[in-house]
Amino acid sequence: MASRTFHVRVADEDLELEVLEHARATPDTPGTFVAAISGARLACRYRLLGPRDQVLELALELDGRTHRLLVAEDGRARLVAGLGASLRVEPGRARRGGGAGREPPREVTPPMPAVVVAVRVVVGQRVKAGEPAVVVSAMKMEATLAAPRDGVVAEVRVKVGDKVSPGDVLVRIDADPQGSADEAGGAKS
Amino acid sequence: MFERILIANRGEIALRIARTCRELGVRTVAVHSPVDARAPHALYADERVALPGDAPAESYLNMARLLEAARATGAQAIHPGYGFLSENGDFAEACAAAGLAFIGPPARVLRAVGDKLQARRLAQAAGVPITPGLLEPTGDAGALVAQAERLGFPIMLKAAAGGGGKGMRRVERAEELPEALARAASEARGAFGDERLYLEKCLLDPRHVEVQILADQHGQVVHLFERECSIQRRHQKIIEEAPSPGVDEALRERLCAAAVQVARAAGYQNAGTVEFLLDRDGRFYFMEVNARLQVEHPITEAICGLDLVRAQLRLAAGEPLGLSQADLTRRGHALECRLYAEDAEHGFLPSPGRIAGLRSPTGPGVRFDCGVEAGSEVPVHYDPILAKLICQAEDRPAAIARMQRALAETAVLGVATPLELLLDVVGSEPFRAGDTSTGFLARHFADWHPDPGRRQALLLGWLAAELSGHAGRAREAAAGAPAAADASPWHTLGRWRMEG
Repeated sequence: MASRTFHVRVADEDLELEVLEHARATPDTPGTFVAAISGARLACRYRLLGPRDQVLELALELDGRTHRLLVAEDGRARLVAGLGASLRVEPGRARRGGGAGREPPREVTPPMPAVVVAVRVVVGQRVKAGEPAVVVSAMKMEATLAAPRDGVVAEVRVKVGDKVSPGDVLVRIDADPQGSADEAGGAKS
Repeated sequence: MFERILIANRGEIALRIARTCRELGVRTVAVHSPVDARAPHALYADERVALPGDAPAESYLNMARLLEAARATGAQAIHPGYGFLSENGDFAEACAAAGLAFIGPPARVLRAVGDKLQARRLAQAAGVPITPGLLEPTGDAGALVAQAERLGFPIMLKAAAGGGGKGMRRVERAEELPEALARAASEARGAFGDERLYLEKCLLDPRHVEVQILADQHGQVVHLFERECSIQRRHQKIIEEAPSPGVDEALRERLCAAAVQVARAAGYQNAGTVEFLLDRDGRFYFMEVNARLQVEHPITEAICGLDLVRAQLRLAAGEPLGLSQADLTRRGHALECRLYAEDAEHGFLPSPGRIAGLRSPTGPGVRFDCGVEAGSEVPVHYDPILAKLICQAEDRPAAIARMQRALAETAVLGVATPLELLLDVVGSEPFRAGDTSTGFLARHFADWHPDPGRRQALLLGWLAAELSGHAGRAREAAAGAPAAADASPWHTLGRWRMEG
């Protein structure tokens, strides 16, 4: 059988999984496969114990130990839990050269559903990366969301009391049209 | 005994209370906010009453509606659980005025010990040592600064009305004090409606040790030994154990006697906890009284063989304790790990959402008090505790091994939990050695990351699901579609802090 390659993104890291051999599980027999991950060659055996309620349960044999795992879908991602750990597996992309110089995002967005308790910037204001932009509150906690980049506040889309979710753009920061002219003056005061 | 009680709480504690009620033949009335309409606690009870809104003020803090629900259902008593109205003197008083038994201490006691400063004065008067610091709260920043300078840094800034780790702020240096004072006062005003603060000197790397108390309405007080709750993040406990590995028999006797003294001085009734800090030299200092059932009460139940909720109901019904201190013994060792919906790898960020899948641990010596099930929503409005895992065994090493086994059996899909961190903490050398203190997590686990080996095993599990052909759209997702969501929260996230 030809090898198959999967590209996944796990904890902000793009990984390539190559399946070298595979015999699919049947109701009566366990499946087996050999995979290469980051240079390691791993042989596994698995039995399916589901799916039930959209959760697939499986017993994975690895290095002489059996682990019971749960797998579920979450949109385009997959969630896996077992061994006391859990993992979110997202669709990845094939590795390309030079991912280092990626542009920082322009938007301030909350990490979780939350309520805005303070807005610290106004449109037109010049900000530096790391400066407080919005304060949100959720589950009795407050978090200060910082400007992701140097620039000028182009848009403030929220006010105190708004309910916001991850992906919502609370504040947008554009590149400073005057460049970093006043940077030297503000740095060491 | 009561025929019917209302449980003014949600989640695992509401369920835990209802279970004991069922064993006692006491009927239960649950209350729930709209978002909790299908929550396990609401469905377990014999009856349920809907509360108008999701916000705590409209639901689990809504005194008028709770009292009305009790009246309408014919409940004779209200159990407040922990958090919410559990230590609210006005609510206890309103219950009494409505002819309902409040399952907890009376309003008079709640007010006396609920005011942390009054409690400090009370402990001092009872001859129990207290941490150096203020005995009166103040809204005067100048007075707080002067006191802080006299005590020396670091100091702990506390809201007069705070508790349970909330409204507390550690200040390391004098320069940080003005900003900390302003924020603490504003948070205290927002969270408690009382901006007064006080401060205490921080002990160097203390253990958090607390003593469980039971007191009847006839003047009898007993203790149920100590618990150690040193493993904390943001001043909130995540691992507790009983007995404390830092307390020997002689110290235990003094500590428990001090707790009973405080309880007597307060005229305490029902179940409560007297909290102490224990320094490296074996000196202990009274911290506060938690006038409620504690989250970590099951470890005391485990080593003492008692049901504290049953005791609470009996005591609230006016029954005598029916046992003396000599009747109380302890046996073996118990540990508790709290499962919050939070991301231990990213600063314990809250992680609300839907529980896609859940597997509970079971087997010998394992108790899993869980307020959610597969399909449950973890709402953004409330404290993010999901479940508590309690393991007991004949001694501490066996209890630790049991906890490791049970944590590894537990699986939660859909929201982040600190399960893996807990596993690494209980398996760590300093924890095994009993070398625990409130600085433990910061010292040993500040840079904690999930274990790559476990991660690899899970990745192989994902691959097995893909290869099995049962993973639905998994294959197309894995086929290399571009990653979405360019507005990533991790780029803009500042530091999360406990606010109130």
